[in-house]
Amino acid sequence: MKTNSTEWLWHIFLGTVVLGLLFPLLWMVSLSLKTTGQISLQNPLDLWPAPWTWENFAYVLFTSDFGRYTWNTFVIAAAVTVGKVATSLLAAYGFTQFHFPGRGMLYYGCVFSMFIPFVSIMMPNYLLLAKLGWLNTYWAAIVPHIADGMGIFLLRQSIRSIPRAVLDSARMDGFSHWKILTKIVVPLIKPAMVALAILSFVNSWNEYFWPMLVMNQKSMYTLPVALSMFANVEGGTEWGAMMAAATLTALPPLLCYLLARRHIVETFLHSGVKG
Amino acid sequence: MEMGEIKLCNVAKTYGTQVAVEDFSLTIPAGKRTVLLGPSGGGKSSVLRMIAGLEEITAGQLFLGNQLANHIEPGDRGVAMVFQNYALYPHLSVWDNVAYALMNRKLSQEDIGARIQQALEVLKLNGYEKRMPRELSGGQRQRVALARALVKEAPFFLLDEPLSNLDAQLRTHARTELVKLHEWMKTTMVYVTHDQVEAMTVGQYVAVIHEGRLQQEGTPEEIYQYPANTFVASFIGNPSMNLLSGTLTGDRFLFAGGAIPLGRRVLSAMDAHQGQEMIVGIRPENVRLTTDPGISMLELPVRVERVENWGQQRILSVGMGETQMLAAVPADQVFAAENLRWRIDESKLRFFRGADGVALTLPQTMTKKQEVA
Repeated sequence: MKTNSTEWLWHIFLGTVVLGLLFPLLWMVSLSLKTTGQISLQNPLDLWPAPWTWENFAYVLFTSDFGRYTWNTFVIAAAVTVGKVATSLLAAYGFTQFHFPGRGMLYYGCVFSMFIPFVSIMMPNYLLLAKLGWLNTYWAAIVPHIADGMGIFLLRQSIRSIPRAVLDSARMDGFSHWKILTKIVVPLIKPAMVALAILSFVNSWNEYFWPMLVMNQKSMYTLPVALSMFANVEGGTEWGAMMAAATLTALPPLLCYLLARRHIVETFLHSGVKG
Repeated sequence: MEMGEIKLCNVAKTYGTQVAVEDFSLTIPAGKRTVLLGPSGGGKSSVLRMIAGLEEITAGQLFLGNQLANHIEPGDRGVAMVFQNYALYPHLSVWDNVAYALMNRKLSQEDIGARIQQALEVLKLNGYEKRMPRELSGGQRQRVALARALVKEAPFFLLDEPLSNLDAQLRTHARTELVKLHEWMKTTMVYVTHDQVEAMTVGQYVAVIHEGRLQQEGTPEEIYQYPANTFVASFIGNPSMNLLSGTLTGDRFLFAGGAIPLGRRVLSAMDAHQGQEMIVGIRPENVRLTTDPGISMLELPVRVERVENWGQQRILSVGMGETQMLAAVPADQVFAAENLRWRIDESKLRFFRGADGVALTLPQTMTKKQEVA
């Protein structure tokens, strides 16, 4: 009985938290399905749109440059993801498999780079990109993000969990380091790589500040930057259209999480535990 | 690479300032089973890994069948290795695990298939081709690891504690299988273990390694009968050899338990060590206890202090004066506590220098003759 009642209390508590987290999402979807008239006249907390309308979505999809923004966001997120996974994998393999002077220092240097606040490197990065003439190109949004300490840390932990003898065995079988990496290491740490890929894809997809800084031509905007345009069209905000765009923007990351939820949870559970 | 012996010349391995192996020279005979025996952390695995090419050799030379091998890649050395925890590729089936061992060879598909088939057959793994390692028992995994090494048909076959992850019963069985397998393969086999029973049963040649140094090499018999120093004496044998410290004074060995008079031949060989500290060793099973009133000078009164029943034998802890030693006697032998004597057989005594524990070798001919007599 006692466990049952504590369990119930937990369920009630967690349910409340989930409702709190879901509410903004529901609100967003609800607003996206209302007409501008309804939005200004109805009680804003009345979530049920009456009547339903798809006109906001139609507006976003057919009259704005939504396709172009989606493409920009996708290209950047995909490139950042591929780049980050690749650099993290190679660095993690190097940090685990090769002995060289300064290895520890270099590794901890990489990990501690996670704690450098973005605002402190924002200006130098911007100036460098400006000098390279990369502003308003995909490079500007991609290159500064293709390596980070988090990815190296995660994959290094995963590679370390592979028994040393397995990798030794591959060397005895005459595998080159490249083959060991591709034939043995990658299949064994796939869950961690998937988790890292999804996290960096979602992060890049949602990134607002950096693309806003380096992209000032409308044709190069990413979705989060484009969303902000709806907010300040001459003082009045088109809430319906903005929420429709936000709903569409939020869909891919949501799908990603749903598909890979198991991998992500597992990876973070195990990254601290060797075994 | 053709079959042959493995020769290590003054090999050393250091990790930073830590010395793992030092001035190590050993010739591992071709086609035989050589065991590297020693306690954990003694450097035997480092030696094996250097032979395999998994560790760089800090100093010295390694020859694999007459070829200097210091800088040959592990995959090109003609070496197959079985690891302690089997090191199977967890994401591959049994068949693929074995096939991966041949992936980097220039062999035809049929040839590869035939070899794998044969290896799986020899190791009784037919029917398991599609299983994943996690679906196999410890013994089966171990056999897959062996199959993976076997299929390479490499002239040098290294095993790093291959049986230590198996339970005791399976281990005895696997040991026999391993010896049979080697008799069929006839490759140069190097086998690392910390288990002296394994060393004695598997090894045709044994090298004892401790603190990064070669302590002794020889046949299992030689090592058991004539330990080169007190470390080997106490490491090999269970219960281990009794070591009694004392001094050589005149014609007798004086120790805390009394005095052992020594014969002329022994004395003449040890004359140089008069008055020096010495250690006398005797194996528990060579300690003869008797109640018969002896006439020999070579007897010491002893008392039984404790008895341990080991099943087929009893281990007696016997006291002499202020010291003790162990005696192994058949389980059915009963001793009266009174008037018990240790009848000393001089030929069973081993002498070591007190200062460093190195065996004071009597002329081999003499000791051997006495052994026969």
